[in-house]
Amino acid sequence: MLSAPLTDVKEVHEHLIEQIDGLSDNTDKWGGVGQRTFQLEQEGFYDSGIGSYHEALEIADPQVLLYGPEGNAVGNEMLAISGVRTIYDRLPARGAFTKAKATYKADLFYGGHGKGKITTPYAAYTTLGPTDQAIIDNLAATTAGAILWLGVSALNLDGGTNLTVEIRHSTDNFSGSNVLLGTFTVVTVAPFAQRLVVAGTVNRYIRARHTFTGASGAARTATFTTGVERT
Amino acid sequence: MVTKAYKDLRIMLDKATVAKNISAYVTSINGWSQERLLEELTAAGDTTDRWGALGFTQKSEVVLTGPYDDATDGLVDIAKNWTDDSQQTLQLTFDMPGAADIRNVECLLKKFERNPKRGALHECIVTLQPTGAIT
Repeated sequence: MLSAPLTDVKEVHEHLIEQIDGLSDNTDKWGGVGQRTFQLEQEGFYDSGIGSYHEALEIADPQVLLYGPEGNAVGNEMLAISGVRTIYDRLPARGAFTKAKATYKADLFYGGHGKGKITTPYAAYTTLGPTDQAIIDNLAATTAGAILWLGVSALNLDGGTNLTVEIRHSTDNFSGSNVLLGTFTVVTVAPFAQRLVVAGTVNRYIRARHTFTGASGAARTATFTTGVERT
Repeated sequence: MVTKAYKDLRIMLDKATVAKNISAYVTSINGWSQERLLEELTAAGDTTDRWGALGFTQKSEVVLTGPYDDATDGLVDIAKNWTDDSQQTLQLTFDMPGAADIRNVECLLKKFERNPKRGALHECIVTLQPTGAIT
């Protein structure tokens, strides 16, 4: 989790527009070109610890970034980005701690960015399971599939086999209907992240479920979050 | 002389063509700026500058800033769900309660920013580009 040394985050969604007035117009007119841009900027303290901010920002390949601007509860908005870090500044200054600043663009080849809802709040989970999270009611089913997001920052299986995380959906608030929507790749090491695309109908109600499999001991713990974006 | 202040400003913005009063969600506005374009005509022999009007008025962006508030029909709600290039009406009234100085203009959403900061509430910044005639 990279939020600890961060002090500022800036999320910018831009619609590209162009001036379209002509010679006979007496005031400016503008039109949208139908294209959007997205950029996420973060600033904070330089942290060179293992598994920290600096290690993540050093990686040049696209990385999954999960961001919850409205709080860490089921149903809150989650912004999920498969992003390419374009700029990483390390900023030493006399009389101050060294700062770090990074800018991300969404990498469309790897899925770009999406806006969904948190289905598993980011926390450390220790119960053997299966453990179900709170239900999200979308008020209606949708038919264009969904994108499922998983981010695991820490994992101790304590002798177990893996952590299994899935998203389930229902037509009746899980009173009778309880159908698998998608299952992430089983997790055996952290950090781990995955973006999973599912097609077809997504029922009105969804929730996440996780399970520690194998003979997992009492010291088991997994720190992770999931989100769902209906497309 | 009748002076006016921020308390006399009312800001209405359409959400799917229905006007919503977003005044309570805007803590600052960059201003309402129109520029009549001029071109300098100063020529050889002139001892002072001369200018001509092009008959064209350029409108600046309108930037609305406020704390991130997810209330229905608030600034964040409107901007977050304004995902296409549709035009929505912005209405600024500068002299409430008299409401004589009212400006309406169609706008495009140019930018929506959401900025969490340490030691502060999340900040929301919405940049609108006015287009066409002001009524």
